[in-house]
Parts: sequence; C-alpha cells; structure tokens
Amino acid sequence: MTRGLDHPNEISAYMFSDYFKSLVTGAKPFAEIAPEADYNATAFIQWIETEMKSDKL
Amino acid sequence: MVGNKNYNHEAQNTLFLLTVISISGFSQEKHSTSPYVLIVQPIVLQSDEGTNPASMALPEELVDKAYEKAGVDFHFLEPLYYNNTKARDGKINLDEIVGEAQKAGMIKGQDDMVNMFFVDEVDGEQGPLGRGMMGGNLTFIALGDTLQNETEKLRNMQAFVIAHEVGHNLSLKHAVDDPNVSDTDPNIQGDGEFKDRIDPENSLNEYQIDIVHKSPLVHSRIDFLSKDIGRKAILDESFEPYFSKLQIREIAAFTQNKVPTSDVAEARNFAREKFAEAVAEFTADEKKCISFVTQKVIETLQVNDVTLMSQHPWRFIKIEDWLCGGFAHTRGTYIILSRKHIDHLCKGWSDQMTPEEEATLVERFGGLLVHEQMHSLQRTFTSKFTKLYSEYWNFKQAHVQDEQAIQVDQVSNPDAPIANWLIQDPKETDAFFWVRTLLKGDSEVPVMGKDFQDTVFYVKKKGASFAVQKDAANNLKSTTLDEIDFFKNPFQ
Repeated sequence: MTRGLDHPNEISAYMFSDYFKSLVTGAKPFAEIAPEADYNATAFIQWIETEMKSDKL
Repeated sequence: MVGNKNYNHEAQNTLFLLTVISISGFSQEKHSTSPYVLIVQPIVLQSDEGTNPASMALPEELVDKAYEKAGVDFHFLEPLYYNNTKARDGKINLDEIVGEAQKAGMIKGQDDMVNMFFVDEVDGEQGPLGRGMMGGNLTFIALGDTLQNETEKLRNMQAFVIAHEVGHNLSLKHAVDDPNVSDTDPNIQGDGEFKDRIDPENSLNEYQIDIVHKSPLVHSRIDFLSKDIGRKAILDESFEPYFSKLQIREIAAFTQNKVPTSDVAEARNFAREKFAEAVAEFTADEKKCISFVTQKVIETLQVNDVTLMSQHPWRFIKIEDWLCGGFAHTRGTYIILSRKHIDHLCKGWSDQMTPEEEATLVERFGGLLVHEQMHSLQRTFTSKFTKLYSEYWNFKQAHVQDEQAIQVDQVSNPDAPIANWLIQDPKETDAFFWVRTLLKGDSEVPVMGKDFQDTVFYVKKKGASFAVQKDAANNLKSTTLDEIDFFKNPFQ
C-alpha cells in the first residue's frame, strides 16, 4: 500500500482491495508486507472479521 | 412538499398493542442473491438531549420474505439518530418533521431510497402504526409499547408494518381500494393475521409485483444509472458535503476548465454544471463486462462471508474522461467510472476467457470495485469505520480550525471530503499531524495528480480546539510524509 495516506478512508479502501485480491488468489492476506506494517494489517483483518462478516453483525 | 394527505396510515389491530417491542438493532443474517435491492435509511428519533430513542426494529429476514416473490432485498443502512423531542413524540406534524430533518441533513439519497423514521407517536397517535408516503421516499413507523414478550408475534407485526408502509412508498394501495388485489387474501395491503400477510404465498400478487418493479426505489443489485438519472445522482450531497465546500482552484483541476468567476458560490454552481455534463451512457458491452466482474466479486465476498459488502448495492455512473482526471471515485452510494478507465479494465474480457484470464480480470478490476465500494460503506456504515480508525489504528477524530492558506489550495478527495482525522504525535499528547493534499504551483488550471502534493501540518490541541501551528513569521508549520515514517511505514 503506497497511496492514499492522506485519509484513513483511502488507507482502508486500499487495504481492503489488497485483502480482496488475496481472497481471489487464495494467498494469505498481507503476506508480503513489511514487519512494521504487521500490527495495522492484523488489526484490519480483525476488524473485517468483527464488522464486515455476517455472523458478527 | 410532503402533505399529510399523501401518507397512508394503518392503525394496527389492538391485539398487539401491549406486546413487547425490544430494540433489536439491525441484522443482516443471510446471504441474499435477490436480483433487486431497496435501500432503507433508518432514522431513529430521540430526545433533544440525545436520550430515549423511539423503538426501532428491523426484522430484515421477515420483510424480505414478504417481498420474496418480487425478488426484492431490503438493504438497511446503519441507523441514524436524530435529536428532536417534538418529532419523536408526534407533537409536530409529518411535514414539519420532514422539513426539520431535511435541514438537519438527515434525509438521504436522491429520491431513490426509503428514509424510515422511527417515532413514538405520529400526529399524537401512539403505535403500533405507520404512515408511508404514496409513491414517495418517506415512511414513519411507531412501534408502540414494549411491555410484554411475544417474540414471534411481535416480529411478525414489526415486519408487517415495515413491509406495508414501504408498500405505499412503492405505490401499492390498500387492497380495499385496489380492484386488482383481493381483499379476502392475507396480502401485505390486505387483511388477516400479520404472519399470514407477510407470508410470500399471498403477500404480493403479480399485479403488485409489476408495480413494485416500476418504482424508482427498487434497483437492480448491479445497477447502471442512465445519463439522466446519473446527472442528478452525481450531485448528491445528502451523505456529506462536497460541492458546497469546493474551492476555485480545485474546481479548475477537476473540470479541466478555467473557472469563469472569482465568486466561490458561482464557481461551485459551475462545478455542479460541469460534473452533471460529464455523465455519459453505458454501452451494452460495458454493462456486460462490469456486471460479469461485479457478480464474481459478490460471489467471492459471499464465499468468504464478507456480507457487509456483498449485500451492498453496486450502482454505477459513467463519466467522460476529462472529469477528475478520469479517476474512479464515489458519491453517495454510487461508484463513478470514466470511459477510459472502463476501457482499460475491460480489456481482456470476453465470453470465452480461460479460468486464468478470468481470475486476472477479477483480481484487477474487482480490486478496484471493492476499493470504491468501501467508500460507499464508509458513508453508510460510519460508526464501523470510526471504530477502525480510532480504536484499531489510533487516529484522532477532530475538527481543525480553518486556515485560508490551506483552503485556497485544497484538493477535496471525493471519497474522503471531510478532513477530520489526525495522526497522534507519539512524543507529545496534545500534538498531532494532519495530512492534506494540496495543489502545487499557481497555474489557473492545475493538472490532476501531477499538481497534487501531500503536506503534513503540525496541529496542537488547545483546550477543546485543534489548530495548525505557526512559526514566528506566522507561516503554517508543515513537513512531509517521509518525515513522519512512524506513521507511514506501518501502512506501507
């Protein structure tokens, strides 16, 4: 994720796009990010589980 | 103007007057693949102080069942809470409530979604009752007392009231007034037990289904706005301000036109005209390609249970390439794609793709579509994103005092028009960083992208207010994103 740092709306949209691509390819989401980005990426996946998935709504 | 005479009201059978009505929140429990979607914006009235909200219930599954034969899925957005004691308590009439709600920015959409007000009383009458505007986009629901617990009957009643009143929005008349509907069958506009009236066996007849499909409130799940409808939709500011905040230089950049006035109000009208002018008609092939990819995206999201997005309607507006540099963006619940962007993304699409080609297309084009759909969700499920930004990522939500030097060169991101998120300075509690995209140079018509630069302003909290810091010469203090790598690197 190299664009969209001006607003968290853009950060989350870019990150979700990356997450979606991993769903299409079957890869582990955010598998290739730098170690210092791991915390935010993991938090984002947790948030998706809690806020975007049907059984948690 | 909405007149009371246009609202159909249904005083409910007293059998359920004393049943318990609990606030059930909203629920999106199933994976719907209904071909049509009806968007509902719930608006819950509460006291002027923000307490004691009216009873609200959104038994989505039951309501959907009532409209199952019409293939219509009710899609409830995150409820909004509106502080207005008199409106909640039925002390002012429906026209007055609508007028005040409009001024308060509570009414959403372009007459293409239902705004559903939950109140305690309507015109002094207690619930359960409802009033749906015939052929309109407004419905009032008073669910009544919540004293006893008869869950099944209660939910059937709640679902019926919603299905019935929205039926009026969809131009359905009471069976007794409609020669095309039997008033002996338990139809949603007829008589009988609530559970029977919402049972898909009799809830709607073919004549009613035809009327429902003609309503401007009912959209295909994947929806392509015509040029005429798109011209209105692209100007939507019901979810957040955009045109009303634009500045002259950014208008020139977005429209690639010299702005013919120095008056900002006139310039904003110029922007509205140009944005509407840019809307174009989708071709049949474009619709086919976008529908194919969107359907694949929906399936991928459903398989992975990401229902918040898969169930959200996919609504597209096409624009000419000159607007906003041809960048994909969103407004309200609409995804806006330029001609060249569609051409580029649909390159490689055909009826005879190999599985590998299909996967590549879905990854590339689908990746863009979900990015844009996130922006639509950010507007319609705001609290979820507020939680992400503040609780998971530690952003600080704040309004920073306006600075003319920033405003004049601002670039309003259509997908994030309110610049109200700050980055906490890890070294100082009351210090923050504020990233703004600004226009470089002084050309009258800046170039999209090329003339953009991200600038990071130093912000201090003083008391309850947030202000950009200034140096001894009264210049705004700023830096670059590269200088705040503690923020940048964890998002790379």
